[in-house]
Amino acid sequence: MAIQEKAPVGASRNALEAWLASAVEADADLLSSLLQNTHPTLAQIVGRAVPADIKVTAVAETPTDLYIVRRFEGGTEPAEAQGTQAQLLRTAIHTIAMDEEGFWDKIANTPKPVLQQRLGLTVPPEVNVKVLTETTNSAYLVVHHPAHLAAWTPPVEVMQRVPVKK
Amino acid sequence: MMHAVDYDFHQIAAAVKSEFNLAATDVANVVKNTLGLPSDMVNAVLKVAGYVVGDIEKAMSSAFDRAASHLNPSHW
Repeated sequence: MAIQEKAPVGASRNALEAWLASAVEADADLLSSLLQNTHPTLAQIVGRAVPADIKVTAVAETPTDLYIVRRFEGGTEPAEAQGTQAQLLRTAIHTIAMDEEGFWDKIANTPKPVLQQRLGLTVPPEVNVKVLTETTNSAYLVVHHPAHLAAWTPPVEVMQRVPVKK
Repeated sequence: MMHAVDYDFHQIAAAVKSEFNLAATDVANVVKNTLGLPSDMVNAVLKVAGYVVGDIEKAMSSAFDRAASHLNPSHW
């Protein structure tokens, strides 16, 4: 596996996911290494070992799988100015969930109608939406398939509520 | 079933606030660390318990300090 240059050492998980989405395109071995040997591969990429008390699970989106992660700390995570569409979608969902108890349950139970009605995201019939929930000691790292959200524009009323990192 | 469980969390938080007069930050940390609830659920518990918005925001920032979070690679 040849790690791409300019890996986001010391960066946030959002920056890491954004980097991975393009890095796996340039390095065919990186994705399989990340999925099969997640912690050692992450240690190479970010330059630091994953803490022993954390389990990071890497998952990769495909043209027929879209993942949404309920991050343990997502409710306090602002959108980053240079963030990806995937980050924006997750942050928007977290923002709504902070005001509407049970929103994550709705997303998990009926993702497509909720995404359509509340976030203006139409998910094609052939695409499965999977919601993953983190715990205090488990995290998901998603290699996103950017095409899923390429045409998505978040509703203005939602964007007005999304906190932005200063 | 899930609703019943949530309702208990809220009752516990409200009781803790009224009986022991704990700060929102203390309740947030207990609910997060002891019950393992994610940020959105801790936020909901604090709201139902009746804390004011400013105290909830401070409590959430304290309990879920991303800069010090072990889930964030920047902190590894």
